[in-house]
Amino acid sequence: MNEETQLKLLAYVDGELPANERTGIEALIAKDSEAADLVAELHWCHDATTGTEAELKVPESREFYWSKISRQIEFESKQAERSASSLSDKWWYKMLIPTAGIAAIALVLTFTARPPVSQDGTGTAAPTASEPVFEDANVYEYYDEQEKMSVIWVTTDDSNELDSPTRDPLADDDQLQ
Amino acid sequence: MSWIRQRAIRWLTMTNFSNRSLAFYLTLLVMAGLSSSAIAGSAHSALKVDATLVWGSKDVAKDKKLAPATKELQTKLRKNLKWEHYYRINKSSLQLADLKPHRTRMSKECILEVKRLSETEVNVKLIGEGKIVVNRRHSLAKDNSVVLGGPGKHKDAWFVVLQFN
Repeated sequence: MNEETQLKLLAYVDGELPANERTGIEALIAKDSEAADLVAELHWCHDATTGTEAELKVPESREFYWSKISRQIEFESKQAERSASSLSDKWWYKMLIPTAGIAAIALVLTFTARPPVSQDGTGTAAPTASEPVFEDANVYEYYDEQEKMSVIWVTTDDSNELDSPTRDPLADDDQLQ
Repeated sequence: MSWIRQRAIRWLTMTNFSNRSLAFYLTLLVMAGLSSSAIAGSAHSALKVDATLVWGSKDVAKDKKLAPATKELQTKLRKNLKWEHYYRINKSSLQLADLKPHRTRMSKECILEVKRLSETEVNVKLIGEGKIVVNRRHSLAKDNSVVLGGPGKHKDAWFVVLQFN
């Protein structure tokens, strides 16, 4: 008896054999004593094991027990998802490093930049070091309220100290006459 | 908001601590950089300063290439100052969008520095031959323009006219 026939006999005992094969197997059992012995032994094993399994009882209620399993499955699937999409794969994380570099440069420039000097009115050049103050300058200040204009007249030569820059009102009166 | 909340929860539940701490410090750096730039760069609306170097003379200039100052500026200056003719020698503009000093060279020996102190106040510094000749604060509420001037060698005068816009 080959293995395939043995498996068919096992299926017959378990009641899992298709109906079209059943008559063929029954005929085999009737005429083949070896097949009949195997079927008898399988019936004996089936009867001996059925109803003798120890029943395991869990301490929790059925709902709670299954909810624990459900939570564990959910946790494991989330863990798998998290490891699949790690932090370093995220687009914003990839952008973070160059952005941080730019930010660092911005910080350095903010706190170290010095005033630009225009060489020709348009370009820029490095500023001179802190300049000394011209101590002997004489400053005359005048404010035109109507024009909202401050005039600061600076003389660096004593000979010009008393030379006022403003228009002489008497001279204007002469011109008017 | 729910997106931010989800991100925050995911952030807090990240298991890879080294990645999390690196990301935290990088984010902190980005925020610091952006904040400092914002504070230094855009705390105030930009103030435009037009600076004009003007030569004032009693007589008409012999050099016909010299461009007269604008009529508006001539009228303004002639009203207060004794010279009859005003010529534009150089013109420059400064954009004061931050609180840092901005400089422009008005002539070979003359540098102008304007620094915005607040929304309503600027500091004007005039540097001649490497020395600070004028260093004054000006209220923008009070002044539309500031004229810095000095005598020339031949009864003429030079002026740096600042107009605030």
